Formats: sequence, structure tokens, C-alpha cells
Amino acid sequence: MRVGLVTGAAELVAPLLKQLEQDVGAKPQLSSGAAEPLLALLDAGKLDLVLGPFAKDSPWQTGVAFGPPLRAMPSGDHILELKAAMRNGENRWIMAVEHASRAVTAEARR
Amino acid sequence: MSDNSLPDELRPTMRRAIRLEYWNIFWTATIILIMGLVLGQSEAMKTAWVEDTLGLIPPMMFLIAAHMEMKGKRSAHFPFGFERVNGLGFFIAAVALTAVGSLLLVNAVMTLFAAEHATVGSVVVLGHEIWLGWLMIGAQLYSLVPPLIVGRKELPLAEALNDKLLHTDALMNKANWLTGAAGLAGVIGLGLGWWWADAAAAALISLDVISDGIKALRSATAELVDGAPRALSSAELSQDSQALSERLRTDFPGATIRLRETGRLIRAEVHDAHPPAEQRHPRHYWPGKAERAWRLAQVSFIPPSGPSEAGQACRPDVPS
Repeated sequence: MRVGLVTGAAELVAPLLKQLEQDVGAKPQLSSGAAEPLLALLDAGKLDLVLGPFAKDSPWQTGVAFGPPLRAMPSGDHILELKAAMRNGENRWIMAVEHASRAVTAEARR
Repeated sequence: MSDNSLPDELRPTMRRAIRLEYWNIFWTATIILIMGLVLGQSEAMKTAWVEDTLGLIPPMMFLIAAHMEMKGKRSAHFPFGFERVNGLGFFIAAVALTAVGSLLLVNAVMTLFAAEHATVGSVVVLGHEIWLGWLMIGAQLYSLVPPLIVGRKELPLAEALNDKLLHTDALMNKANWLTGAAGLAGVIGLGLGWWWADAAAAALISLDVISDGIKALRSATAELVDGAPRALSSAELSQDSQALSERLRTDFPGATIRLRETGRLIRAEVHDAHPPAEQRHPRHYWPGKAERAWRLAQVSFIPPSGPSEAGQACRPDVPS
């Protein structure tokens, strides 16, 4: 699976990546960068998953499918949520990532 | 003469229809709420939800019109009462249906062309992870039941009251199974990985909305521009008005008969004929069953013009 990691998020999302590896039996090919370019690559079908902190009211809300938040990260006036972003319409894959997210944190099960 | 325009014998039926429409609004509100909770990104669900929300317009317009017909008094400002409020409500409902149906169709077609893939993920309910599609299917199945029951109950009342607004609502409710079936197919299609099924179902539902709207619009416009009375379920001329026309033509040979409909009532003009010597209630001329004679509210006579009047009529530039 082709995974984009938003710079600085690698350690925070390691448990989720491990869980996904177990669940779907796929090795991650990691690339990292800023959130915007990674989400654009996801939208274009060049990545399967982007992991990182995103604003709760991100303008990408309808452009991609966000998974349940793994944790909340206050940042100034905003609250960022550490979560996975998937390509819209990839419903089976979205379900798998949502399931893995809920398996690794209690926050995501709420 | 009564203070308002509703024939007295219709009052009990009208009250039953009002009660039923309150129930209709209640059940529709529960459907809107339940569907709204599980909409997700599904186009078919959104379209079905909008159709259900639009479904509130006819019962609400009916209740407003019924209230004005039953309580509104004739006055200097409204000497004919409020019998046409129903027709106005019918027109508003028809415009809303057609406009929103067209908007939904455009939306669905654009989604199909842009190949937008709808996302239906999972939710946690009581600690269990469930595919949102199952909840959508449940909501769609629930949304089929109340309209089916309400629609069947509305139909005989609409016929008894000759109420086009109520009749349109009854037909919309009865036909809602199609919307539900299309919506279900769309969601199940998504579950099977057919991204296009959702938008295709939405397009199908919107075509149904447009078809309802256009039928209602034709009939409502005909009434507002004083067209001949139309049948309850179509824009064709109504059979009872055609029979009335025949009856008046037989009673007044050579006369020109003009009929129009104001709400549920028919008004007749008999041109080029003198009124009969004895006084007759308009209902005397009703050709059908006596219990439907309330439909004929007025018969007016316009006698043939004399030579001098005819001359004036032909020369509108001459001041009379």
C-alpha cells in the first residue's frame, strides 16, 4: 500500500500502520511531505492513504474520506485531528482503515 | 348563503382529511429525520431525502388552504371567499416539485459524468462497527411504509372532496415505493462496488419527481387561467364537467356553455340564453349523482344581445 505521511506524523501513526499491515497483509511504501501535496496525490489515485494531522473543518472534507480521529491535537485557535485520509468511493478500503483506526485507539471508537 | 365557500356536506370529510394530513406530516418528519441521520455521501439517499422533504409541501399547502376555506369569511376584500386558495397551493406545490426535480436530475447527471465515487464508510452503534449502507437500507425500507398507508387513505378522501392537492399528494405517496426501491438499489450497488449505481438511482428518482411536478403543473395552470375543469389525476377534461356541459346544452339548445373550476367547485356560464322562468338552484343542473351536486356552485346566464347592443359590441370605440 502506498502511504503518504505528513511530515512529523510518522511516530504518531506507527501503531495504525502496523495494525493495517496485519489486517490487510500489505507492506507500506512510505513517502512523506506536506499535507496539501499528499492529499492531491491521494485524490489523483497515486497514493492509497495519507496519515497526519488535519483541521477538523478541513476544506478537503468532501474531496477525500477521512477516517475517525486517532487523537485531537490543539494548535492555537484550531483543533487538529490526527487521522487517515482515503480516496473517496474506495469503500472496502475505507472500512478497513476505519476498522484499524478504531482498533488502535479508544478515541476513534467514540 | 354560507359565510364561506366550503359546501356544508363536505365539512366532516374535510375534517377527516385534515386529521390525516397532520398524521402525514408527522410520519414524513420521522422519515426526514431518520434518513437525514444516515445520508452520508450517497446521491440516491440525498435525492430521496429531498423528495421526502418536498413531500411536506402538499400536506402543508392543503392544511393552509383547508383552514382558509373552512374559517375564512367572505368579506368586501374577498367577496368569493377562499375557494381558490387550494388551487394556489396546488400550483405552488407543482412549481416546487418540478424545480427541485430538475435540480436533482442535473446534479445526478453531473455526478455521473464527473464519475464521482460516493463514500459509504462505517459507524459505531452501541459499540458495534456497522457499514453505514445497512443503516441507509433500513432507513429506506422504513421510508416506504408510512407513505404507502397514508397514500391509500388519502385517495378516497381526495375523490370525495374533489381535491387535486390532496390527490397529488396521495399519488406521490403511493408512488414513493419507486423512490425507495431506486434508493435501495443505489445503496446496494455502492456496496457491490458499482459507483455509478448511486447516481443512476438518483437520476431515476428525480425523473419521477419531475413527472409528478409536470402533471400537477399542467392541471394547476389550467385552473388558474380559467381552463375547463380537469380530471383529478390528469390534465384531461373531467368527465363530470363534460356531462354537465352536455346537460346544459340539452336544456338550452343553441347556447354556448363555458365551464371553469374554482378550487373544487365548478362555475358555468350559459351564453346566448335567457334564464328559465322559475327559480332553480344551480344543483338542479348537475347531471350525476345528487351527493356530488355541490360541485356545481353557480350557473350564470348571458342573454343574447339585442340589435343595438350587438352594434355596440361590434364597435368598442363608440362610447356607450
